[in-house]
Amino acid sequence: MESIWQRVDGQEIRLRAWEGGAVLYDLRSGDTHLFDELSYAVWQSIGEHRASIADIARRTADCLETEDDDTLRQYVARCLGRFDSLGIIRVATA
Amino acid sequence: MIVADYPLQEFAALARAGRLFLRTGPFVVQIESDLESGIAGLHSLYADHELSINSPFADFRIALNRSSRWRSWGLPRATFVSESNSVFEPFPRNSALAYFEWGLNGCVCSRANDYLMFHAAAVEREDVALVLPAPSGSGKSTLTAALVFSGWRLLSDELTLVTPTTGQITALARPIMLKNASIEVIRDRFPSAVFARQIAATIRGRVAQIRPPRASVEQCHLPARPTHLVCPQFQAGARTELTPISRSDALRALLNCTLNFSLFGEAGFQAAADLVERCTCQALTFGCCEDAAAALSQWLPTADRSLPRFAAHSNTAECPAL
Repeated sequence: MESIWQRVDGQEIRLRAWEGGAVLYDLRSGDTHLFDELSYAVWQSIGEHRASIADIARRTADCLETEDDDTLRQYVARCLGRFDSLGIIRVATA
Repeated sequence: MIVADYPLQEFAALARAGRLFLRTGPFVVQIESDLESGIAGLHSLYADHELSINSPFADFRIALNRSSRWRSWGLPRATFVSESNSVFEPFPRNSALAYFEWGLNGCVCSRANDYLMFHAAAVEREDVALVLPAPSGSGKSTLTAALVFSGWRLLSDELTLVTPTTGQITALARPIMLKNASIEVIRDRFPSAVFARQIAATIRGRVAQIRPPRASVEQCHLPARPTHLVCPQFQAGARTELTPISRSDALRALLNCTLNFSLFGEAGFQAAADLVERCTCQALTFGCCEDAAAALSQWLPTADRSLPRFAAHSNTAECPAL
C-alpha cells in the first residue's frame, strides 16, 4: 500500500527561497536545511494536506514543467525519505 | 585620548593598576596586566584606539597577569581572567598577546548578544561592504589583510557583528591575526603593516598580529551595510576563481558561520536571509591572496584603483602556501 505523507503537525517553519534553491528553518528544532531547486519543488508539492507519492510527483512535475515519469518518482521518493529523516514530514496515520 | 598618546611606561603603570579602559568598536574593555611584553604589544597593536583611564562602565573586564602556580617545563606562564573566570589553562607568557585576542573574542562571543555574530571577516570601501564568512584555515585573514592594506576599511577580521533590526555591520577593527606562512606573505607585500612580535609556537601554530589601519579604527563608529558576500577558500596552488553561488547556498554558508544564531531564533534567520538577499554572492577559491584581491577588484565596483598593483606583482608560482 502506498504511503501517504504529510508535514509534521504543529510545524513552525520559516523558509526563504531564491532562484537555485531555498533554506528552511525549523523553529522548533532550530535546524536549518538547504534545498536545491528540485527538493524545494518537492517540499512545496507536499502542500498542507496528506498526499501520496503519486500526488506529490504529479505536482512536482507541474511545478518544474517536466514529465511525471519513473525517474521523477524515484527522486521524489528519495526526497521524502530525506525529509522524513529530518523530521519535517511523517507518514500519515489513518 | 588614544593609546599612542600615552608613553609606554605610563601605559604600563595604568595597566598594572587596572585602569586601562580601551574602546574597541562598540565595546569598552577594562584591562589589568602585569605582563611587560604583553603590555608593550597591546600598546603597539591598539595604538590608535581610544583609551580612558577612568570609566564608570566596561563591557568586559580582563586581567592578563603572571601565573605563579604554573611553571610547567620551566616556562613562565600567564593567565587570562575575565569576570573572575579563567578562560584558558595557564599559557606561556610570550603568547599572552595572542591569548588576549582569543580571550577577547570569547568575551564578545559569549556576551555581546545584541548582535547576530558570524565567524566572518568584513571590509568596506565607498559603500561596498564585503562579508567573508569562512571557517578557520580558509585564508580569510590573509585576504582581509591584503584588502585592508590596499585601502579597504577593516570592519572585522574575525567576528562580524550584525544588528538584526537594521542589517548593518558594526565595525570592530581589532588587530588581524595571521598564522604561519601568511605572516611572510603580508609582511613582504605590505612593508607598512605594523606587526607585533611573532609568537613561535601557539596551539594554532606560529602567529603574528597586525595593527589595524588608523583610518579603520577612527571610522569604527560608522556602520556598514553588506552588499557583497564571498565565501573564500584557500587551496595551495589553486588558480583564483570567483564563481557565482545561489543565495540559498550563501545563506547556508553564512548560517554555518553563525556564533549565536540560536539565541535569536526566527529574527536571526530573517536577519541572515535579509543580509544574503541584499548581497551579490560568490565563492572564491584562491591559492594566492594577491590574485584573489585582484579578482575581487575586477568584480567589486569600487576596488578598481589600488588593487591592480597586486596583479602587477602577481606571480602565482612565487606565492607561498598559507
